[in-house]
Amino acid sequence: MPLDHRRLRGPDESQPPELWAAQPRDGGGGEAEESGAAPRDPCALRPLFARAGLLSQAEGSAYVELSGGTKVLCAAWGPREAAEPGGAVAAGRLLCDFRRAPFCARGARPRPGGAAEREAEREAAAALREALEPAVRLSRYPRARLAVSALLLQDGGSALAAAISAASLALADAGVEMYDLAVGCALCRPPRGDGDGDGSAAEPWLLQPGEAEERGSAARLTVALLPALNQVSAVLGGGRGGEPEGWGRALRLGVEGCQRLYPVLRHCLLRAARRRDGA
Amino acid sequence: MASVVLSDAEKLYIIHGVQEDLRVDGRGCEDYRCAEVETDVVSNTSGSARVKLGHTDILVGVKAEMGTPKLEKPDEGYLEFFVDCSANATPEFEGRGGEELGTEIASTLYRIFSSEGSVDLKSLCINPGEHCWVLYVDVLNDQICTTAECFNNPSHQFSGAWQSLIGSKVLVLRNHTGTFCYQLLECGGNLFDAISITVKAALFNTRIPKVRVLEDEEGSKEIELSDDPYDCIRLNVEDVPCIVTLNKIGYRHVVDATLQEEACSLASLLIAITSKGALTCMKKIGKGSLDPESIFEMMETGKKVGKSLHASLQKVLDEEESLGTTRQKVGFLG
Amino acid sequence: VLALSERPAGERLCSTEEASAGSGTYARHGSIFASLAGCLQRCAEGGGLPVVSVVRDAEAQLLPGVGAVVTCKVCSINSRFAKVNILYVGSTPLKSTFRGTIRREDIRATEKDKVEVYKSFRPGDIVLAKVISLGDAQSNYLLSTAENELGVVVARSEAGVQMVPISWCEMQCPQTHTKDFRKVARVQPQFLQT
Repeated sequence: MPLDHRRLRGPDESQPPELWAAQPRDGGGGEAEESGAAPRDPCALRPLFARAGLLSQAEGSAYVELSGGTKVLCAAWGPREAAEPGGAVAAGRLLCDFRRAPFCARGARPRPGGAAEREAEREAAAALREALEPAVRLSRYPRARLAVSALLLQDGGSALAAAISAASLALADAGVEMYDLAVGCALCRPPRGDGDGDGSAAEPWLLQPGEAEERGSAARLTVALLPALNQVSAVLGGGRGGEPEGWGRALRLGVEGCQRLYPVLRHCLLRAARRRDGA
Repeated sequence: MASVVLSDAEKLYIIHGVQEDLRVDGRGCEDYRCAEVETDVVSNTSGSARVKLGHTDILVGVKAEMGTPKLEKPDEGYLEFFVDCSANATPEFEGRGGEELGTEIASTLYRIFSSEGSVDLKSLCINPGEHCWVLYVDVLNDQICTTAECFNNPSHQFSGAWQSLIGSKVLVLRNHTGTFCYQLLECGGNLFDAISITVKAALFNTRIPKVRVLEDEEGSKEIELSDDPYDCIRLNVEDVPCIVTLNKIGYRHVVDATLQEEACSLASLLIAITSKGALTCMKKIGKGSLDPESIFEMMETGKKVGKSLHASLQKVLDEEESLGTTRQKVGFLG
Repeated sequence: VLALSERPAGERLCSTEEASAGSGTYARHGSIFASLAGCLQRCAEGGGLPVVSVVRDAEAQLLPGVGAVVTCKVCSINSRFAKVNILYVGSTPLKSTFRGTIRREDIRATEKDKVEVYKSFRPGDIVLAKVISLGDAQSNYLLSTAENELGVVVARSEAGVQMVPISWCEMQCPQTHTKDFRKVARVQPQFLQT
């Protein structure tokens, strides 16, 4: 919309009010928030809703929602002729696309197509491809490309993990041959109040953090598992340094979380298959 | 990533060798190649370093620029990374391939340096909310033959640029931009580790000029640069992590893989380890998957290897530092 | 053929000693796993191990493989090859078209040096062909019509009427009675619909 800049003399730059509102809360309200989060069982998974085969135009599709607000919609398209000849002929290529809706996050709406936004999306797409490639039987699709696109409608934490689960459901729903489903699970380590670097025994890694927990976390980790083969297809994490043993425990916890999520996704896929066959 | 074409027999040879803890170049599975480290190689930067790890040759230059702190962190400076892979390094870098690799390297570096504690970002702050040091990191990947023949060839489009880089002795204090400029000279495997070592060395070598903030009666601030060019602050690089990439080959894993070994590996784990052995970042790369048990093993190896890597790097850096100006500069032709 | 309940992709079906892996499945570590989400089928063939496969009702995601007979439409011709769009693999329509090439030397089995592309195909013809190679990095699918059963099945004359084959190398327009050269396929009688 064209704006009359002579009449609307706003500042050149604007800042989201949350930035300033959040600061006084850190002292007083922060503790209340923390004590509210404390009773949470670190191993508790957030309820997950998954549904496959809901888009009519895509060959395969899936929607995954985590209670707490993460909503991801994925669509998959089966083998197509590779756009550019060249590259490996023996195996197909998996193209992944990850988009964040402009309204998905808290705070100011980022400019769609802005450099930072594009960079974040590209990184997420690369992570998605790394997680899905081991799960798809690409050797069955020589000279072809498979496409998956994920749209993050709302980011309520653990978004990449939800996108991995949704994308593998969408691929399976499209009838793409796969070794296994890839199930994603996120973890985060809240910052410790008392000192740093001491006894790593009680490092409380939280499974499937919410948006608030993720924002305040000291370290994050996303794990993807191929449950039937017991293979980890993606590990992506970083943050404040910790003992490798602590990270190992987190990984184990994440793998367990993925195994617990698997029946839900499996059930969803079966329901979609039944619905498709019935129709 | 640059790749080599290996036949099945060659791959099998490498895989079987790794199984016996013997690699093609005679190393064991947890041995690094001999690395050459040299700091202060490019004079018009705030700090620079060059590391040659096998055939992987990387140059990092550091410069400094003043900027405004980010809104969320008004009392911290920040680092900026930019990776530009041109098609010179290997043909695979042409077009999108180089762009993708560049993005991957940059995002990994961001991931490492955005974690608290790796670099003391607060020391980069000059004036909270208004001025801070911004460390721009430009990564340029070029494979340039480091032979004199190539260097002296005037038709080589890069020779001019290189001569000016090495030859000019202009001390630039213009706006004190802290620009890292990575030059990947040659790609011989284990890119991530080599880059992280070079970054650490360059950060160690970096000197940021000292400035003072003067405030007059009306409240307007003025920044004054110290007259003494040797009056500068240095970064504490003790907690800067190094990346250790563990390539899974067969049932075992190797560190510091060559290009040939990388071709035999379907999946690898990249972990960032600080000198104290703390893990700050981990990432699986590659087309394959890993079973959980081997990841734990790899993390253990990574910690062990990473700690000794840090120790020897620090030793080399301190030694070089103590030589001072008497040191014979090797440069690129050495 | 026994259709069992639906299976999701990645589920372990049975051991490789009990059965052998059919379509939609793969074998790993001595077990057979489903690689498609669909119905489990177990076919017992005389004497041998039963074959387990997972099938979907919805048409499979098919790709033209080497040896498959494909139906394609000619897009363009030149003196060395004809470019075609692959539309069907066997009797299954493809969801998207794949490009293929019929080289001059692959048009017929004998007297290859005398073949002329423009006397064999014209743009718009529907051709039956066999995939001989998936091609390399530079080329796309390579097809061949060097069999009696392969070649042009439907062609239109300049008058826009469907032509009738009169020999293995000629077709005739029923309206204008002009003759045109084609590499005509002898379509097997069982495929002809009347």
